[in-house]
Amino acid sequence: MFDLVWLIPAVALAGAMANLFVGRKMGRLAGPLGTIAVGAGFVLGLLILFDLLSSPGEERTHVVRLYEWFAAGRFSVSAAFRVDPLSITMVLVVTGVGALIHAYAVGYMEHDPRPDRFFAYLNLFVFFMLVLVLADNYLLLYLGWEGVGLCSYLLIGYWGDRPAAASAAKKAFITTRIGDSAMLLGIVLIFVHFGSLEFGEVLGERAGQGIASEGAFTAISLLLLAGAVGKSAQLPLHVWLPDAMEGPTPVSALIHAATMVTAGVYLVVRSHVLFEQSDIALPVVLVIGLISAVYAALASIGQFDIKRALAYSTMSQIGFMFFAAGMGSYTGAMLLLVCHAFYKALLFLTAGNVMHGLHDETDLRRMGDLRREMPISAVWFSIGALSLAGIPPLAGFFAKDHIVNFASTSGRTAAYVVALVAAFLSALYISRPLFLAFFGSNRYEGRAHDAQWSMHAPLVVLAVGGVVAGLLLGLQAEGGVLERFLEPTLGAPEAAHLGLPEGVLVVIGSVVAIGAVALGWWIWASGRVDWEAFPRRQPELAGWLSNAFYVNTLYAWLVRIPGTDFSRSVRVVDDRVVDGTVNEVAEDVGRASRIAPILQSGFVRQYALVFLLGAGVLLLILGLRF
Amino acid sequence: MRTPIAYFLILSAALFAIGTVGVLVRRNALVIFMSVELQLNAVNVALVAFSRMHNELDGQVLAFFSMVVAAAEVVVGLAIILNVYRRRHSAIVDDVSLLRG
Amino acid sequence: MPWLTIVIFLPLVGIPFMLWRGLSDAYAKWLTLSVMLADLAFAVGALAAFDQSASGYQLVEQVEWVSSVGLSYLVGVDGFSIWLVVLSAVMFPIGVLSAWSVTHRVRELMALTLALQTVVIGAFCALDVLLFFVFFEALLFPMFLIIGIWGSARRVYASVKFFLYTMLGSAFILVGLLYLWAQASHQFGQGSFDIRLLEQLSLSVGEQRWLFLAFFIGFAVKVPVFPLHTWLPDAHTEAPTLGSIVLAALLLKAGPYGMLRFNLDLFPEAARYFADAIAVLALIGIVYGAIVAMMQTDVKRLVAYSSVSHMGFVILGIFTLTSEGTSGAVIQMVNHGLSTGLLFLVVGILYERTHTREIADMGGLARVTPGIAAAFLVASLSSIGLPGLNNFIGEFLVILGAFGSDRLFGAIAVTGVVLGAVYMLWAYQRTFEGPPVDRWRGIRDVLPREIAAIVPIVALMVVIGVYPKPVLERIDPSASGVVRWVRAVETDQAGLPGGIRAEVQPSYRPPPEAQTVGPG
Repeated sequence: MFDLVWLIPAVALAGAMANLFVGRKMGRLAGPLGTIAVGAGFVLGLLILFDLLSSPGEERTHVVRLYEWFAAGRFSVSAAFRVDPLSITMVLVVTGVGALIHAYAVGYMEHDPRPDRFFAYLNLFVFFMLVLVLADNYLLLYLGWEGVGLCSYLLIGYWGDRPAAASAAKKAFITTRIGDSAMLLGIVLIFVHFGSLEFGEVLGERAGQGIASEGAFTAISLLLLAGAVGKSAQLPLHVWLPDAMEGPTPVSALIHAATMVTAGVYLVVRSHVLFEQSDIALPVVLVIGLISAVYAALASIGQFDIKRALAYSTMSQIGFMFFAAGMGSYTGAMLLLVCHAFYKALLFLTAGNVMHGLHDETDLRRMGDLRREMPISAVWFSIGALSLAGIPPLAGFFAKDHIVNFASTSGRTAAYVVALVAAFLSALYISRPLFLAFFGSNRYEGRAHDAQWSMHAPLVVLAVGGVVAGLLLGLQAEGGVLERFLEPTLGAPEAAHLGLPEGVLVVIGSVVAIGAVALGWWIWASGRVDWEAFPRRQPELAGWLSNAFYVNTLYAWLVRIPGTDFSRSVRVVDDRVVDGTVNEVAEDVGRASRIAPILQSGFVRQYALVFLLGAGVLLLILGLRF
Repeated sequence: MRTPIAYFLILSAALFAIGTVGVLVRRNALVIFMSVELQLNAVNVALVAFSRMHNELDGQVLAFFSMVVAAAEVVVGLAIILNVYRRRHSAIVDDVSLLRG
Repeated sequence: MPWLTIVIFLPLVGIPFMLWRGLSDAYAKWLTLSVMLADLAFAVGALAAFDQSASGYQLVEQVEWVSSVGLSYLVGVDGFSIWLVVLSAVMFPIGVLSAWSVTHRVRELMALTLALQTVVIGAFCALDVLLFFVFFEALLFPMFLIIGIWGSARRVYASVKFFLYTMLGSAFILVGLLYLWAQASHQFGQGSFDIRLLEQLSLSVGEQRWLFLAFFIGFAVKVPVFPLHTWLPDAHTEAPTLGSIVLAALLLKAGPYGMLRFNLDLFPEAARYFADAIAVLALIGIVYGAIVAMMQTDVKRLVAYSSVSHMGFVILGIFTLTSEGTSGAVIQMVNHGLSTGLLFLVVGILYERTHTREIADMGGLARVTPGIAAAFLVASLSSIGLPGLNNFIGEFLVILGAFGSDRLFGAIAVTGVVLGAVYMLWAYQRTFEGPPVDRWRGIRDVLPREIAAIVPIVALMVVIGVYPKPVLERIDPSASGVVRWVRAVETDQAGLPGGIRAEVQPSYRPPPEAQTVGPG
């Protein structure tokens, strides 16, 4: 069964190719075909999962080598897949949530003239994402990594005739590429030290046996982290994610919430052995995650575009995952990754319903009281938002509280306090679109309509996931189900019990979440607070929040404008100096050759005279010499 | 007895000098042409004389070459002069200075 | 079967037909295309006859030519040149397809293209240095005419610049190889241009370095290496599509190929001595070319400067003096030929439709011409080194090699990858995305014959990206061989002991007279 693991990405690729080459003839069948391709992957993934579960813990890692990809000199790398609890978890998330989002997109994209192209890209994305999580070496992972970046580029720019979409797509690709190129260096560095890129070689026992200096491990880890930070939209490479919302909403749900942006978390978790060899690497992960979580939560509060608010929310949640990984709680990071995939996909797709019902309106100020006309969507959004906020016993409660509490139990009190603030802000920012869109007063024109059944059906599954995923996977008794499943790959986190007792922490977490949602209701739904006046009364603060602390402006000042000026001057230098020298030499030769023709008078007899004189001189010289 | 080589050389030098002066002072292309022929034949005389002096045939062979080349030259040269004359109604070389730089 | 001779001279068969005035333009094109396809078949035959496990020269053919100076018709291929031969055989028919819409003096164009193919393939096969030089110089002439007659507005300026600039570089090579001949006649008792003999020469360190520089300058102009690159944008911009494709895909390869074949082989000590300096030039070229490309307003100039950047990778790979880097450089030559060839092809198609090369004039074309947009995007993605497409393999190996020789080199080379994404995607955005422009409403999308030219390139890109092993495993023995050769004499400062080559390349057996005249 494990040998057939290649079928999972292959099916997705087949779907992509079918849609790409014969999609035009299939018409409306394109969407269902794409959905089936991904769904089949999910079924295969489940079969492999059962196979995996039937074998004892230590024997749950299987490497399936397909062929040697390329080799030169000492270097060699294979196309090989790795089946282990970690990769199969990711496979199930990608194909499961992916299939649901595909199914949703069938309805969402029904007015698109070329759904086949859309589904081709979407299938292609799933293919690359599966390669990324199944790869058994860093280079194949990198192939998937860049491949998902490409699909992200194609899908953000799907409506490329809108200049904003085209620019956002390019920005996303280039920003992540900055991280990716650092990651590529990290991969090269791994090869230089280990002589291999295979996970079995690099992440096995050899890492701990002083194969490289600690400095080398730090360099490798930080370079890999740079890639992860770019892909997962963490500070300082996060600027592309809010802009990426220019893409169709299913894309935002699948790529920019549930799967691709969590690839960075996967990379850190997968490479944790390397990170642990360095004293600096994991603390850096922790700090980046924590700062990103707080930063993005604040920025989300400033957004009036519902999708941008959700985008910052995604960034904040991934910040939590990095935070967890930075503390060594890899299973905590994975638990949040899985739960987040459910409720964030649910939130995005419901936002899609809203946009669908309101003729592509995304501004929260022109929504309000949608629960009357879109009652079902209101239910979905409430579930998603409350789950994210961490209201017990929904999924977010288990996943996020697990991480926040781990900070305390592992003795990181300062981090715990900051994380608690981030958790509070999370609950606050997510209650904002909930109350602004679905509660309060009606501020939109015309009528809204709720989505058709085909778009609700996938949401049912996601909503159930958003409710029970935490209970099923993360309930903390002897360590959650997911934790025990992942243990062979990730090891068990140290069970220190410092700080406050667990029960107290749970209570604090719940109170914070419920308090924040209540505060949110008071501000945005009770009608007692004039929230619309906030930007007028506090223009400075509102500006900082809505512009996400002007990081974009800062980058423009630091990089884009000087970079453009520099490039322009280099071009001038190339034209004037480098090429100028060449042309100058040519002109000098030309000038010199205007002097020579003076001798050429055109009079034959003059030539003859010169000839004679010349001959005479020659004779004279010869005569003198002999 | 043999005629001393010097006689031939003096004849050759004289012919060559006459030819040279002709080339330099005359303006008619045909006369210049004849003067060039004179120079060539002056050299031929010298070649044959040396050839006899050394008792080898190389010089004579070279003289034949030179004659053949001269004949070829006449063919081409006269054709050019004729064409120039047809166009310009003049065979004065100083009128034809189109090839100045 | 004299594979190489057939591959080299088969295109000439078409030329007499082109001289016949009664041949219609359409037949001239079809005839040229079929001759080239036949040549491709023979090139594939040569590839099949090539033994992948050996590192020495194969399919060698030798005919005495001017024996008094030791000049012979000597051709053969190794793991480097076989791929360049195949690439040439692939790209020429594609170039002809791109010229299908030409109506001005078609027979002359076809005749020149056929002649060009012969000299290009000849240059890649020649093992006699003088024969190589003859082919190498002969490249210029058809190209000069193709740019000068079928080019656009400033074609005369561009063609003369191209001709004189590269000719000037070649003068250095001529001096160098005459010196080598003299040394050979001094040391072996008979002058020779046979590279297999010349590499046995014992040259002092000083001689090696001067000769290395002479050859390097000549080849560097052709590559082109910064700062000798300014002829390239002009030539590319003014050349017709056919010219741009051949120039980018094949002529630029003659430079790095020459370095690989002659500079490393003949002057290993000097190669080591200059390696770092040249690597720095290559790195400057990578970054500089990318930066200048970013600011171009003419799409063909942009692609031309991207070539400067990409060829920097090739040069860097060669002078990392590691077998990974060298293999990467060779496969990168093939890759660059494919991806830049496709870019010029697509840009040419676009130019036929819009009659402009200004990026600012275009925009929104993806709506009108989705096929052209897709082809451009694929070429761009390949060019920026997306894994799964061909360029990634080469770039990765080059970076790996560079990293092995100096960490900083690898780090700088990587910035080229980022900058590449910036200028290519920006160009794609400004050309194909954004709101459709009224002016371009109704222009035709890609035609069947254009698809016939695009599809083979794209297919090769994917194949090399996904399964490059067949290519690399033929390159690798030669790459390892030449790297071992350059590194083998590391300890010997005085000169090269003859015979190391024989040990390094077991397939090579020195002729008897060379064995007796061992360098002392």
